[in-house]
Amino acid sequence: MKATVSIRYFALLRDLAGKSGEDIEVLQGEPASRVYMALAAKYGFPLGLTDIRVAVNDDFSTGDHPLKDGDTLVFIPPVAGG
Amino acid sequence: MEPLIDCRILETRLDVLQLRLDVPSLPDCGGYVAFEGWVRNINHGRAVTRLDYEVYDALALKELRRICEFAADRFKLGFVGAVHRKGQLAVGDAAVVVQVLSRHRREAFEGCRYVIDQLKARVPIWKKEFYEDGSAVWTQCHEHTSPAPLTLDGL
Repeated sequence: MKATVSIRYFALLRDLAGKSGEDIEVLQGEPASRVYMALAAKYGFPLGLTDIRVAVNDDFSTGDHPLKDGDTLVFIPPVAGG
Repeated sequence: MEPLIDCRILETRLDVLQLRLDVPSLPDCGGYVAFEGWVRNINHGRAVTRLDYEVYDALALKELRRICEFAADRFKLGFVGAVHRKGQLAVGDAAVVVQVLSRHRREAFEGCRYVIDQLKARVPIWKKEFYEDGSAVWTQCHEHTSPAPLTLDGL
């Protein structure tokens, strides 16, 4: 079964993707990490899974989080506040 | 009494004097410590001309609040304020202001340091540095960590 998730890109990932977000189709229950790997290959993200954090629906989650229709997904590159 | 928490992400210039005036008067608190972080004109030996801060607002505010609440509880702070800029900053601009109140100085120093350290390591805020030679780079906090619960590591 297909699910549509809304991805938002920030910082380095936004620059490389050339956009601040997009809706993409995934498999219902697909882990967030697999979506990241596909996008990393597509856009040339240089960061591996151990370098990023995953946020689903505006809260921290993990790479094995099973995605469902309507989820908002953010991959967080290394932060640099302060 | 519940500690007072004031977390904000602002797109306009941080008025540090006004932020000081925003700190409440708490009669049982005798210590006030603040940290202001400013944009430097040099980083890793390269001349910096300006910075862009990008913020994942919804999660940044949530995480900042969690850090402040944890610090208030752990260090018995009466007030914790953490305000961070977003957008374009020039050299000398304030990027972040952390202010805390506590009964005694020790908790105020430790609590303030804890909040700024955790903010830098955990809150989804990114910094793009622009250099004199026209290039620009997204910088990375050296303490960037994988997902972990709030702890007292590093104290």
